Amino acid sequence: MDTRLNHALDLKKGRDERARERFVSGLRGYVLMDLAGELRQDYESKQLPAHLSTGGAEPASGSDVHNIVKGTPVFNFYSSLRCTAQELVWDSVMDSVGANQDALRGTFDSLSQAPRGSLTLDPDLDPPRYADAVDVHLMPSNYRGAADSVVEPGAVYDNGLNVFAFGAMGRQLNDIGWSMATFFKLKFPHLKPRKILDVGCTIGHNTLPWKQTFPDAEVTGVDLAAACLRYAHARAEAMDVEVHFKQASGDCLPFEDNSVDVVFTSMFLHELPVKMIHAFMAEAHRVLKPGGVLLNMELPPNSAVEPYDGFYLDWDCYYNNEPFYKPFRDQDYRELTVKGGFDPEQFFEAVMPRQTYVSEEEFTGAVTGAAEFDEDTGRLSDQIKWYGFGSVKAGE
Amino acid sequence: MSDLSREVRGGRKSFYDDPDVDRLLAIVTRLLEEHWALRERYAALEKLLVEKQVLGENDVEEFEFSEADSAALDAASAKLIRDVLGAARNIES
Repeated sequence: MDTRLNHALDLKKGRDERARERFVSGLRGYVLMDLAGELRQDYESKQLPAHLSTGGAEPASGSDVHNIVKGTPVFNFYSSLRCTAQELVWDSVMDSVGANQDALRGTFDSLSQAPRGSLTLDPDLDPPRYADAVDVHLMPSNYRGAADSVVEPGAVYDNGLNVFAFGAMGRQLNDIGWSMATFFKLKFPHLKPRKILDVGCTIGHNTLPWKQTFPDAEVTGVDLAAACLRYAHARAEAMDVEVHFKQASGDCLPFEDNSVDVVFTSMFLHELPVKMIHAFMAEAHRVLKPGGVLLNMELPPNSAVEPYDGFYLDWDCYYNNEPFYKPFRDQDYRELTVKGGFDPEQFFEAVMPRQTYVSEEEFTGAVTGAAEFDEDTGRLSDQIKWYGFGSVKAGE
Repeated sequence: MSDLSREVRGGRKSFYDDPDVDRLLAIVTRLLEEHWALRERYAALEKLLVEKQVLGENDVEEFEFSEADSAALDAASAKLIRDVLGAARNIES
């Protein structure tokens, strides 16, 4: 495992810190591939047959599967170890972030001196309760960090995500961004976007590929968390990519009506209560130009996957401090866009391999057909496929 | 240098009837992480010693302790076993 981030915000890490990251990354791979395989096999060969033989009904949903496997030895071991691995993801990088705090703040200051992009913070923006009540995915202090945080939560997230992903999310954790921007280019070859937003961008790791794909566009990352945005700004500058970052909420985007060509999100909607998703959809519709495109990279809806896969993905909602995960995945995604003002006929969705891991031919072939869901859709492993959905604003 | 808080608002779930089993599994896993860190450090050290020609490629593998050193290691190993496995001796049932 490469514990380096290969940009100017890279931390100076000791031998033990690097070894711990390697260990936790390997542990994650073991839990999410080896143990996950055992969990599925135990369900198919033992738990489900036992359930059916005692008169139980065929599971129709992820919740049904959850009720069958909950409390079994394999489930308990998998789940307990997965929670521990999740905690260790952050734990394994926090000493390095703490030890490099002064250097990190200094690098942020120097990279902000003559930036190509910009950073606009809103000191009056209080984090809404939904975003601040629990530490999502067991990440201590969440995206916001402690009261005196400057860039530290961004560094914890960047380094932690590198451990979390065990090499499955791209060299610079940007495969989602590359996949979605490339998908957009293939699906809408006639569009030449001039203004692109990435809402809920955190550290901008998936924002940058949009600028790299569309160099003439003005690309802006929006997020609630100031500390992540400062880090995102410095990270983009360190990589010499001109991106702007603004602190704002997804239901109150600081952009004019009909002014944006693309509203993009990645792994954002499942962090929102359904009411807030509705508000975001309406807001995206408001800022998009007629003919503009909303594209959300997300987990697939429960209705599109097998009950076992639904249970597997919703595990995070039950046990990984992701309270809005399942309520979101239970929605009809087309309906979500329609309630935001989009035409139901304009809805689209796609399942795709990871763009930076496959050939251009394979990627193009996969995204031009209809969305095909399988157990790898949205399930983090070395075989993961990304899912995206969206719509086009009517009027052009 | 700053010590970042590891506290998680919202806590984390336990899965076994007795949450102490979850705690024990977490502690053993964390210990395994430290064990790995030591192994990696040791591997780096051995590699460096060979690279700098302080040791030959198989010197550590082929090294035999003297009788006296071996006896001392037997005693140290027995003490470690008693120390570690005896750590729970005072816990009431």
